Amino acid sequence: MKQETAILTSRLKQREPAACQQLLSDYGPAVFRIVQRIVPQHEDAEEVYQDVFVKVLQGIGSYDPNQAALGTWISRIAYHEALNSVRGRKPQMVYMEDYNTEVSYAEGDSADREQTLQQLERAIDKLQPNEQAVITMFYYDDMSLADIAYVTGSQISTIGSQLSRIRKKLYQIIKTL
Amino acid sequence: MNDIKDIQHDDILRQAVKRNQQKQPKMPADLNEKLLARLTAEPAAAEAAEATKPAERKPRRAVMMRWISAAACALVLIGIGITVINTNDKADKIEARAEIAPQPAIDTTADSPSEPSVSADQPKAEAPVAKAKSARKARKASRTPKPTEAPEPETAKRKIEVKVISRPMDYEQLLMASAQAQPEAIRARGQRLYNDVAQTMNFN
Repeated sequence: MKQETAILTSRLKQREPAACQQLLSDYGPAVFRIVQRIVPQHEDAEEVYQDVFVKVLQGIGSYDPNQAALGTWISRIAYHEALNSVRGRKPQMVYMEDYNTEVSYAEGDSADREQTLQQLERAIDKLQPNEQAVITMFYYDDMSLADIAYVTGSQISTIGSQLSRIRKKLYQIIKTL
Repeated sequence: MNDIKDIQHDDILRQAVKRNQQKQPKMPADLNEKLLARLTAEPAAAEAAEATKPAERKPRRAVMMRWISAAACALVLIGIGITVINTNDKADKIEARAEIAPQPAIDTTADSPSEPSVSADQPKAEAPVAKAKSARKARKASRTPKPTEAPEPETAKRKIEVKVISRPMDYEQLLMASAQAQPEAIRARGQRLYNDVAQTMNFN
C-alpha cells in the first residue's frame, strides 16, 4: 500500500493525467464526504471539492509520507478548506449547556431501537459542521483518533473528549425531540 | 478510557451515522470530469498568463510614462511660475531704484546740499554692497507703506517749494551761463531781445 502511494505520488509530481484520475477515484468520495458535512450548500461543496484537489496537486511536492498517509493528508486539506469556506457564515446550531447527561439507549425491542436510530440521524444534522465531520470520520470512515487529530490539527486526547461530548450532546438532543 | 470504549462500541450511533451519511446527496458523477477539465485548463491558463505578461507590461509602461510626463509638465509650470515671480521682484527692485534715483537729481538741481535725501547722503563711488543695502531699504520702505507715507509728502513739498523758489534763479543762471558761452553777436541779439521783452512786460 505504501509503495503504491509512493508511485502515485511520484506520478502526480510529474503531472500525469492518469495519476490525477486515479487520485480522484481513490480519494474523491472521502474528500466529498468531509466537504459535504461542513459545507451544506451542494454547489459550494462541489466548488470546495475542486479547490481541495487543486491544492493537493499544487502541494503534492510538500507531502511527507512519514508524517501521514496520503488519504489522511488529503482529508486534512479538505477539512480546513471546507471550514475556511464556511467561516463567517452562521450555521444552525444547537447549544447544549448540560453535557453531563447519562447516555442511555432504549434497550428494548427492535421498534424502540429503530426509533432511537431515527432520532440520532436527525440529531446528527443538528450538530456543528466540524462535529459532523469528526463523527463521520470516526464512525463512517473508521479513521483512528490519531488520524482525526492530524486532519483537524488537534491532539488525540482532544479528539477523544470531543467525540465523548458529541455523543452526549446527541443523546441530549434526542431527549428534546 | 472506558468512555473511549463506549464511544467505539456505540453501535447504534455508528449505524445512525452510516444511515445519515447514506441519506446525504451523492457525489455528482461528472464532478471529477469537471475537475480534470479545470486541472488541464489551469496550466494552459497559467501559460497564457505568462505569455500575456509582456503585453501587460506595455500598458503599465505607458501609464508610467504618462505619469512621468505629467510630473515633468507640472515641474515646468512651477519653474515658469518661479521665474515670473523673480522677474516681478526684479521689476519691483528696478522701480524701487527708479524711485530712489530721481531724488539726488532733484536735490542737485535745487542746489540745496543741506537738504537730506536717501542717496545724496551716500557717496557716488559706493560699494555694490551698500547699493544693495539701499535697495533693500527702499524695498522695505515700499513694502511697509505706513511709516514711509508720512515723510514722503514732506520731501515732495519741500522739493516743489525749492523748485518754485529756485526757478527764476535757475533761469538767470542759465541765461548767464549761455551768455558766457555764446559769441558776441548772438549775445548782443540776445541782449536786445531781453530788453524788448523787458520793455513790453515792464520788467524793469
